[in-house]
Amino acid sequence: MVTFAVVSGLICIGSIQALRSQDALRGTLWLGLTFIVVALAYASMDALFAAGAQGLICAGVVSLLFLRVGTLMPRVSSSETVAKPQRRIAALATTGVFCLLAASAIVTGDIPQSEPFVHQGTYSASLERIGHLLFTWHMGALDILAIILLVSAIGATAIVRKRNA
Amino acid sequence: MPTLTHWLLLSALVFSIGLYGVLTRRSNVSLLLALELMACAVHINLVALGQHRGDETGQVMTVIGIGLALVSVIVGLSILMLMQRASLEPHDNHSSEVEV
Repeated sequence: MVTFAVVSGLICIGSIQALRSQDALRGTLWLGLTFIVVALAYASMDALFAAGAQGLICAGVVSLLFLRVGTLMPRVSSSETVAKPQRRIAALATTGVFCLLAASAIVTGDIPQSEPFVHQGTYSASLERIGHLLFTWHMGALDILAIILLVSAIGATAIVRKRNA
Repeated sequence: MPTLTHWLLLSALVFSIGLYGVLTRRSNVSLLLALELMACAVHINLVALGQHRGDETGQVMTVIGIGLALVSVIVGLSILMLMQRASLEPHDNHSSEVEV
């Protein structure tokens, strides 16, 4: 329970700081920290494969991409990045209502409240089952993801290609 | 020991923080950061539900979701770079057109 409290606290602080930062670089660093802590949260749930993917892809690649673009973006004043007070109040009210509704649905819903997580044996056995699921039941999703990744990489290269003089 | 309810509540909280960022931030980079946070909250949900059921489907869905989040970041940041480059160029009839 202590681990969960520390992890959830760090995730919330990192998320809030990532959004509060006026500087894109600072926000990206907070987001990277949040992603790393989320990977630790996955590891605490015995989901080591998802933790590895989260650490490598989100905390690694995504944060590096944001850092690269953040260095190219000009610094802007806080008045240009923060919404007007009326809009912030409306957004806060909307978010609060959503959070309360979601929390009440989770607490009062038909979710087992006290059952602990099921331990799934060794990591190698779990990895074997993940591989079996990926390459049998979810093969179509994996194929579509690969095609979308390839197309997006080619498209991004074409978009940011320097124009010939 | 944390139960499924704890993780779902944490996920709802992170999603709400991301939603607040999407609604209030005007910078495009911050908007993408907030969207990534919302995707991260969904992934926490998937992993928690999958692990609670005792199978690996949640992890598989999370890995596919992480791949899709990577795609959105690649496309979003490249469009941002293009917008940044277009805003720095002098405005004339030929060079202001976006070449793809």
